[in-house]
Amino acid sequence: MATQNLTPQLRTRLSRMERVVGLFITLATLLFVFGLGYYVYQTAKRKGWFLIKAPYFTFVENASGMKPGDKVKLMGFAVGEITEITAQPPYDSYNVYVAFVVYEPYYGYLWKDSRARVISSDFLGGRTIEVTKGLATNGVPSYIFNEVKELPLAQVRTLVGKGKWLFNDYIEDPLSSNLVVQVRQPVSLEALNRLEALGIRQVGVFDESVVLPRIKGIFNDQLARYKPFTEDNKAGYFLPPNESPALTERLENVVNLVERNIPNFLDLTNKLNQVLTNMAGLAARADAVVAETQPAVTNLNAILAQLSDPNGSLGQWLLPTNLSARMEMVLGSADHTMQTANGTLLALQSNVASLSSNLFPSLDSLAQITSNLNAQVQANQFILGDVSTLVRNTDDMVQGLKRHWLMKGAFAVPSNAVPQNVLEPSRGGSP
Amino acid sequence: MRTHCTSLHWWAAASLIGLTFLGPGCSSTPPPPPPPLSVQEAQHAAGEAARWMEAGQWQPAADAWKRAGERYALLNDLPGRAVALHNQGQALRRLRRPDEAAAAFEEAAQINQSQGRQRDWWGNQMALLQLESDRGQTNALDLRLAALTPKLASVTDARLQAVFHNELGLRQMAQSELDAAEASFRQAQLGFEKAKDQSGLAVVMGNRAGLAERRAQLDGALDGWRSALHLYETLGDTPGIAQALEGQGRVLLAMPERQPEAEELLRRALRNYTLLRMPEAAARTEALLSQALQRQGKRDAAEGARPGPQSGAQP
Repeated sequence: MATQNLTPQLRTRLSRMERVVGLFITLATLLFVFGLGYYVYQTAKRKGWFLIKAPYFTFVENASGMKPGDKVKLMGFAVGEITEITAQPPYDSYNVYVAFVVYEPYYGYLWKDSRARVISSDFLGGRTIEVTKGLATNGVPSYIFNEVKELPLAQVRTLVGKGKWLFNDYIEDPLSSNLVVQVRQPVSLEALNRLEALGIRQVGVFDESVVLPRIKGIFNDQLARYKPFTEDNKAGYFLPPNESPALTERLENVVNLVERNIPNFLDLTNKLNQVLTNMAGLAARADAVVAETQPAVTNLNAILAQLSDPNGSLGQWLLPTNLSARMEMVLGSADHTMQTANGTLLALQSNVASLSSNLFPSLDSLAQITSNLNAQVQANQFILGDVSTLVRNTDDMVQGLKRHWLMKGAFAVPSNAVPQNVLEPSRGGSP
Repeated sequence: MRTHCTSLHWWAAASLIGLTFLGPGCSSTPPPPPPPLSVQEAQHAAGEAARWMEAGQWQPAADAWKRAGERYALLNDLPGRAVALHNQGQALRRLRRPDEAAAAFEEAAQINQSQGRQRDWWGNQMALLQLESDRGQTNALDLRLAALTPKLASVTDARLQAVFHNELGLRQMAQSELDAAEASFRQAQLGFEKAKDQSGLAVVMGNRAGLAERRAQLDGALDGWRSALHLYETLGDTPGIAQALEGQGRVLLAMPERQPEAEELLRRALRNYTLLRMPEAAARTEALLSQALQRQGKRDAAEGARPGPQSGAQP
């Protein structure tokens, strides 16, 4: 029976089924809400909705392989994401502006010497940004969560020993260029005295022990100090780029290099192949030669065995006894001839000596003449050039005189006429 | 004042006239463009050879004419080559290389005949006549003379005709045809006079003097040799001077009363021949000198008639 047909007294009494259905729907709703909440929580956690995001930016040559939403990596971890990729104006020195955020707490690794490296992320040309951890000693974080203040020196003196006050200034002695205070240097009386001696009345400081939930200061590279993080610098901290070409581009360069050098490799392999072929042939021919020389080696062994006889076997073998006797006669006559020749040479030597002694005075005179001439030339190193110039100028003058109307008659025109037969009448001899 | 103005006017007029005449001539004409290098080389070689000929250096002259002939051949200049061959032959003739000289003359004659250059062809024939006379080839000489004599009328060059008549006269004299030789020498003398060739004239005078000696016409011979000597001295022809001195001495040698003059002249001729390195002529003159000395009773001097090294001559 339908519930609407019942009396009000009966309507309050639900059936068991209706109770169960109601319970089920309630439970399902709770589960749905819980699941939704969990999903939202995980999403928030994953996307860092509740994390502090520190803005950064850099410039790259081209945006190939990158898009907003790509992860930013630090030491292999995904610590942020790219938020914007925009082309720079035409006359800008940089090509593409890339803005990205780094989530809490990873921005603490990024100091003023950190870089934004553009690396290949896959083999399909994808690229991403990897930020590098700051390594400098006394590094300066890019952001601080402490309130920066400009206080008079007298007031700063009162802060010494209270909390963890650090300087937020970069001050050099103008006379010696020595550094007096720098950012993140602990506040000390000595430093304050030096500042006072330089005539400085107030200085920037911040208390590192008081950490606020939001970014309060951003490091300014030009001023070398922290500036308050406001709308004016909401673009964030600039990380200098360190861009490498995409992997595909590098692979393409490698392929091009290999392609260019393949002919050289092929040529080299061809030559090697030829050399090996020639060597194989040579080895085959050498093998045949060795086989042919086998009997010769055997004979040589026999000869050497015979020569090993200590009784002059080699001499007896080369020179028979009759030939040996004749050789002795020849050597004896040759000895006599040599003695005669020796005497002749001695006589010749003395003649040559006397001839040379006669020549020496003549050579000395000649040397003296040439040395005098050389001295003349040395004294006037331009004499040869002057003489040559004089000859040329004289020739020019004579050539000009030959063409002058008044003088050309004095010069005989060289005749280009064909020579004539020489014919002289015969002279009769004695009658 | 008026006179002064008048003189000024004359000066101005004279200057103006002078400038008018001198102005057009004041242009310095540029020299003509030089001939091509190969032609210059050929001309240079020919000029060098001609200078060697003038200096009497026959071997360098022969080499230079040979080079010139080769260069003319490269230029396909046949007339030039013919001239070079002819002159080379003349130098070879002086060097006593008659075969080579004859070959050169023959080749030159062929070229000139093919080119229709009659005048040069006649010159080649004259040279061949002289060569055949030097070699004693009398038959060839007679044949050539007989072949050329009828054609002589076609020669218009007076000098060529004179040379031919001179050669003919010498041949006739050698054949003892003295009258014919006299007529030929006369024709030659006329020809050289017409051509105004003093050198040829001197030669013919000497030849006529020799002919007079053959005829025992001593006075005529002496006059002839003296005239020839005068011309040779004018021309500076040293071999001719030596020959003229020898001739005079020879003629005087035939005159018993003039032996000392003969000795003097023959001694001078001998010295000249020795300096000129003409051994045959020197030997001939030495023999005459010895005769002169012997006739004067100077027997010892006759034995040492040849001048020694101290006079600078070569034996």
